[in-house]
Amino acid sequence: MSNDLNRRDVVKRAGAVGLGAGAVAKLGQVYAQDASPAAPAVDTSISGELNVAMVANPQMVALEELAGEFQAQYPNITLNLLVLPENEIRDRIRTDVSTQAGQFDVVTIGMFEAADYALQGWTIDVGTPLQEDPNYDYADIFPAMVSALSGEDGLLYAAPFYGESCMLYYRTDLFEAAGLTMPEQPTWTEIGEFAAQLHNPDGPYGIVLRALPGWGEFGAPLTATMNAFGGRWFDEDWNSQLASEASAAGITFYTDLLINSGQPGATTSGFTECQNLFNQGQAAMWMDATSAADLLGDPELNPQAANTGFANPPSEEIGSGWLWAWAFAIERESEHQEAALAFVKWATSKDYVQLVADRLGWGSVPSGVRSSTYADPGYQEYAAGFADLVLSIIDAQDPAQCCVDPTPYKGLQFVGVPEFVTLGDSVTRELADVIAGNTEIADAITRIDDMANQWAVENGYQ
Amino acid sequence: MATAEPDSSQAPNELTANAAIDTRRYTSLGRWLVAPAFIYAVIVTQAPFLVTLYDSTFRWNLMRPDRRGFIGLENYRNLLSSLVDSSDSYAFRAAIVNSVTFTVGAVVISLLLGLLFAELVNHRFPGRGVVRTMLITPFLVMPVASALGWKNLMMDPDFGIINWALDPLGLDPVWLSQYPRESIIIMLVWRWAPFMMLILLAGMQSIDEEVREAVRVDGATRWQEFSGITLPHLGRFIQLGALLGTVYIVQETDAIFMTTQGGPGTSTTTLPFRVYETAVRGSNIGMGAAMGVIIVVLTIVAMTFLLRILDRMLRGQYADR
Repeated sequence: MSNDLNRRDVVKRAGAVGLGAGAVAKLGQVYAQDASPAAPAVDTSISGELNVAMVANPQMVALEELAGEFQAQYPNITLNLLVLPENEIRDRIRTDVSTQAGQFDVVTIGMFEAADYALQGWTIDVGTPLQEDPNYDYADIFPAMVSALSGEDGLLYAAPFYGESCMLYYRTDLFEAAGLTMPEQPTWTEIGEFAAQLHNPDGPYGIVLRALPGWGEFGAPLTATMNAFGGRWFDEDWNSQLASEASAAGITFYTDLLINSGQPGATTSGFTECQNLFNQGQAAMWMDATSAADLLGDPELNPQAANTGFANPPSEEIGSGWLWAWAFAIERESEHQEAALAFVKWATSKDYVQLVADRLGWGSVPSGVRSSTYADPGYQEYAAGFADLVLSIIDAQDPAQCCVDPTPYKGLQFVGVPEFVTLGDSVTRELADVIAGNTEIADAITRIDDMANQWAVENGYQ
Repeated sequence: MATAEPDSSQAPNELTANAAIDTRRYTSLGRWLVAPAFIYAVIVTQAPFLVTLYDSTFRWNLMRPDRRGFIGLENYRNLLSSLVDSSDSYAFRAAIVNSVTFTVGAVVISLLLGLLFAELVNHRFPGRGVVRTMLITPFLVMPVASALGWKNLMMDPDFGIINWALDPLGLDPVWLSQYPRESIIIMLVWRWAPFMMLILLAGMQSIDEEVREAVRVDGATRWQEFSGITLPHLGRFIQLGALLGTVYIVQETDAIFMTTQGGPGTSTTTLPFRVYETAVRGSNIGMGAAMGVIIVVLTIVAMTFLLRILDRMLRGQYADR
């Protein structure tokens, strides 16, 4: 018994000593900060254990490398980063957020999820505290990004980390050899003609495009193309419009283009596979995310860098494109919201962009979110071939207005409702069958039209 | 469970009475000893199943908690009616057909190849150890890594070795688009043939060398030795391989996930992949649970049938002796 008491006593004393040491350390920091004139106006005494789940894209991996800087600034925050490949972490994040399990404090979410999580009350408003900090320069963030990541109440629920639209990449040497000129704003019809002319069945292929089933893979360029042709997924009453004349024209154009002038085995090509084909000199054209420009412009990563041209995403009836951002959201269940906000602010700040540029080079900065990045002479020099073009493409996107006709959903390369995942997956799988040569396009369009209507009924939209 | 029942059959003499009491005591003690394992098994197998049953009666998409509601057997009705409907709107019929095709195809071919490899390395020849190790290797490679290798190094129409080798013949198939089912079976066989080889090799090595010697003395040819001695002896090992192979291969999703994502069309959508797509990617817990329950029922039916066949075959074999 007495032994027990003694032990407790010892523990208590040890705790007191620990606390004392902590306080001394804290005092030391405050003192050190006061001594340095350039100290940021932040409360660095915030503490807590912060669990952050991130998609392992190169920009996040760069953040992981620089996490020490955050720790130096906030020594009392224990930062645990979980960085896993997109397919793996996305499901985990979605489950954690939607079941309010609270395993993570901060998560990377995409534009597709942001508004919906906000609507369900799973994430908290980050816009208001960020706006209050003059150092953060909230107005510097592209309005399209803010609008697309905001909830229905107009508040920002996820701070954009890096963003992208889509653009057309092409090989200037092949175009020159064939006596072709890429217009600044090409149409899909023109792209189709170029592709037919440049296509060599043994490579380089006329064009490479994604056709790997999945709403976020094949679904993105397909929807953008369909929108350009004047099509849409649904009308205002959620009746499927996939079989409408304009939508069907867009879909048929896309599948025909791939069948006639595209890469063989396109049904297994996602972003990475297309990028490999382009880097290996096997593609005359490629339409995909603007974030690829940073990689394609780098001679060390792309042997064709000197011969790579950049153009606007093709238009037809209307100009079209897409908009995407990976953004940091804070879970409502988080017990360390103050610390979480400090992390989000640090990772999405202008200072962070500078930090990455200084330490890892401009190729690794999270781009597509802040105008200041594009105004920076360093980035201007690095991205001379495409910086202005990317800026103007992103600026032209409006997620609320994707199509010629009005739609009941937001989103440019997807239908912005959570259940779209299953529909997008099945529709793209069905169309992949057309590209593989197993189904006629007319039959496939009838089938996907039925699927979309059934989906709308099942999920209570129709 | 542990209460001892009064013994109705009175023991005729002391000795057997004591034995009966002892047995009873042991049985009772045995039950208690087994209890933790039994309870554990119930908790980890039956509890999730009951939860799945419960979930399957709800309209429940994780992303839309506002629409969650009890809908009775509607998930089942939708699923089962789609099985007979021509459009197969949940791709469930396709998934069943594909699962059966992939499993049967891969098991049969793996067994044949495994038998061939086992017969090969069962004979002494220089470098046998190296060959045996190389033959086993595919089974040791991580499934995701091997699927990526097959997709990018072997079957890719631009960079793949297979098409490079076929080029002089004027053939240029696009494996994963034109022959998706065959491609998946090839990947599965590559991975599972070594497993079959291991099982069959163990069987071959348990054959008494004297028996072999005896038939050779009697002037049997190599083929007669194989068909008359080796093959009959391997019966039970083949059954074991087929059973284990079926259990493992029916669950394989890595190859599909990494290469075709279930497409093109629904040509490579299998049951596990379909459930993953519905419940995890689509967050549709209710429908995913209903699919799971139907799969359990189908599996029980199929396994009862399979085990009965196996049992009959085994009995037939014992009767031969």
